[in-house]
Amino acid sequence: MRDLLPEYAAGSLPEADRERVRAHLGGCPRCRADLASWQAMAAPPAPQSPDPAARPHPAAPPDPAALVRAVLTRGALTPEPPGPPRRLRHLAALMAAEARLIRMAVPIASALVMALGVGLVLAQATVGADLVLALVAPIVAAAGVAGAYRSGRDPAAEVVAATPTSGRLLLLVRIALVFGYDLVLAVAASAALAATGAAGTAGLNTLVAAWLGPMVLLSSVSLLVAVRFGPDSALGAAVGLWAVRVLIGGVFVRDGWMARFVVEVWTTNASVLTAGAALTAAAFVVAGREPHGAGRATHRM
Amino acid sequence: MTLWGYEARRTGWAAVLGPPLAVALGAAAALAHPEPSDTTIARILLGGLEMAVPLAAAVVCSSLIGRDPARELQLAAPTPYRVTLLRRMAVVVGWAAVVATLTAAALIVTGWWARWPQSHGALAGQLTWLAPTVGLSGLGFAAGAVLRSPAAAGAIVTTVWAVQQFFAGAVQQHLPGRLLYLFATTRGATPGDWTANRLTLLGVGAVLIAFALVLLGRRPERLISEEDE
Repeated sequence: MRDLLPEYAAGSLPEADRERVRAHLGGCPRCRADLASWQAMAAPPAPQSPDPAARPHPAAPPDPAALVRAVLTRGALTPEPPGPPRRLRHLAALMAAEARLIRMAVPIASALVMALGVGLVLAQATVGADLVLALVAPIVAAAGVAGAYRSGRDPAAEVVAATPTSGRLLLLVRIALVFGYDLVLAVAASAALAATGAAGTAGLNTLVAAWLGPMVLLSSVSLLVAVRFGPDSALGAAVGLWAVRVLIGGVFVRDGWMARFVVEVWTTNASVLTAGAALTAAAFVVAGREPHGAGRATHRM
Repeated sequence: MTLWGYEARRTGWAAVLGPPLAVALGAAAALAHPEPSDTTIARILLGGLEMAVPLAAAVVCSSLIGRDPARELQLAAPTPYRVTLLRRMAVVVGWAAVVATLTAAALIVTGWWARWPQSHGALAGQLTWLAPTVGLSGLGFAAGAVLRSPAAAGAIVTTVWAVQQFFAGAVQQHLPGRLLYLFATTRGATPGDWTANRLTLLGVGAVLIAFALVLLGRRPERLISEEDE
């Protein structure tokens, strides 16, 4: 409330806030005293005396009350600078700040792994490009998401806990950065394979459909486990589910109900995408229940 | 025992649950096979030991570095941090070995072990899971030491594992590839190379672990200084 007093004194506060401050002043002597100080500073300067001897010296410092009044008036009257709205600028600043907290090894390793997958498809035609992408892209994204969750061990955990920005929003921004980067990588790999003809008759849409659903599902599972049990368990869970797909749906058991079920889950369809969205929503609900790192704190606050 | 118990707790639930779940996965795959035969079932059960158990152990080993909340305290302790990490790796691999040995014993007793033609004796046959576990875990540990990111190191481990799964023929076309192939027992192209393959994997795993220890010993402060970059 005290932050609003300068603008209240200058008369530049919106009507709703003015009423709120007025109601507060009735019961708060300290704020009334502060307001008196602000009003003294914001009061218009006294009219100058016609006597030159009584006027202030030209080299004298400017009148602080006039300065404060001028600054407050200018701040209240200056329109928003041109460009994107404030919310978008805030979001862009958040993304830039979060991007700096992601270890460089993560995007580099993701790009290397994806490049390796593309290279193997180009070098060997024994395994289809859609299958390779369907197996490489999800585990890369899920590993990145598992490592992206802020735990108490994050170097910025204490700053995050003290910031007024919601922890859920920060988590959403970081996950969007990591997942978005892996999404771009996978699309680029699909486009490269489709353009070179290494994918056979499969077009770009077919290739993207091969990995998009599994990528969303595995990443959402990874995020939920990371939020609830920590990044190590999330990585283990993601690798475990991925290994089930590799072994049961391909290497060992190619037919049978279990293989069919695993392969069906590892595709892009409405059910898989809905399940992925539901798991992601559940992760954000769980993430907001306690402050970051509280589960590992020595003393709960 | 107190120290080893503490290190076991620090390795986390993924280390405890991973190997038993890996064995369970192999058993489930064997049960779910639509056309069961003795050879096929035996191959899948041995495959659980040769493929799934090493992956479970290696993923945990890749996340040992860079996840310790008491990292700064460890670096200030008289015991070098790399010794502590090596102890934790021993816990992870040791637990995987206990689970794998018990499973192998059960397979030998029930006769499933001998039903896979490329299997080996009860003693030498333990290299079926030991060699890929040491080799892949060494890779995960070294990748963790180089990258200091569990996510990146885990992605590399899983990629190497997947490449050997899906490009088994291409990987084994030449001798170096055959010597480094992780699944020589259940998917090996040349049974005569089996012993050399197992010893090579053990050697490569030991070299990678030594490399990681040297890297961690030279500038251990990198483990915390670059977190903020």
